[in-house]
Amino acid sequence: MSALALSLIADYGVPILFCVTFLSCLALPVPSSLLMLASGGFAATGDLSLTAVLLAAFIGAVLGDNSGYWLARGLDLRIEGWLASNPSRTAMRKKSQAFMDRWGGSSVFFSCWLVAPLGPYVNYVSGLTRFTWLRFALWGIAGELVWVTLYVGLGYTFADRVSALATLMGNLSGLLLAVAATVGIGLWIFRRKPRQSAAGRTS
Amino acid sequence: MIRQIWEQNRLAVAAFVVALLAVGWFGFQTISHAIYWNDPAHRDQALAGWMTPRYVAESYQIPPEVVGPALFLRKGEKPRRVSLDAIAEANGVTLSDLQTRIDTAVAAWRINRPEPGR
Repeated sequence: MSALALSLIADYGVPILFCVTFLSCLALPVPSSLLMLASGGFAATGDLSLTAVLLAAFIGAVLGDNSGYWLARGLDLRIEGWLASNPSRTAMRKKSQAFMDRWGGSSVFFSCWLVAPLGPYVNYVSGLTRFTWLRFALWGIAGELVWVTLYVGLGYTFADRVSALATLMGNLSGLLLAVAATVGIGLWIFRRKPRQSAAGRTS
Repeated sequence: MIRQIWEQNRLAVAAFVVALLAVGWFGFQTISHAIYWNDPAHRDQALAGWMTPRYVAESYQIPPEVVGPALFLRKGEKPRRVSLDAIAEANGVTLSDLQTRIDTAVAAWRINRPEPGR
């Protein structure tokens, strides 16, 4: 998959990069980080234009985020009755909405680049909880600016070591995700009051 | 205390342990790769089908004139974006043949002009 995507970039250029960043924002398993690094490398050697690479990756990512958001929001309208028909589903939905009201902006921003594997799912949750679109879009644009600039910039700067860089960034991204999961689950466990757990286990 | 937490949230504690193991795994991988690639001896990238001639020149830090003949580019031909896969196919050779040609060309060039810091 990665080798094929890289060959497609070499043969067809930035339209491939646009498609891949777009699809990656919808949770499709495409190697977007690797392609941004490689495209940055191609920009450094003169095989691709740096401006075109940055624009294609950025526009693809922003359109992908917003497509995910609106898909989920459309789905939410359809399953509204189903969600409301069950108290635990209603409670779950209320909880997610409260979380998004409080942490939505930073969740969208950081899931675009720092914990990028979560990005597509945050887009879907934003749509499902009907998080304000303008806030979603603006935080998303800010996050994708960082994501695209970071990866294309690294590829451009270390063009002679794209393969090594891709491995390193893949591990680093996995590390950040694992740290986030550890902290998240840890907080959840320690914040639970012991006497709630008897009821919590059955629900 | 730990026993009580375990008995009350088995699933969450199991997930926590898995996440912690993942931190260790990715942490180790990240650091060991960083150390490995910091050594200049490990920096020459093996050729891959997606690379372009200019990318190979950049990666091996040699001028395009050295790479060109090794990759069957005609003299004076303007460099363009073409993948090594396409070059190999057009000339009826494999990627490892191209690697051999590049290694030979790079070795010859480095003997005449040793790279500083290597």
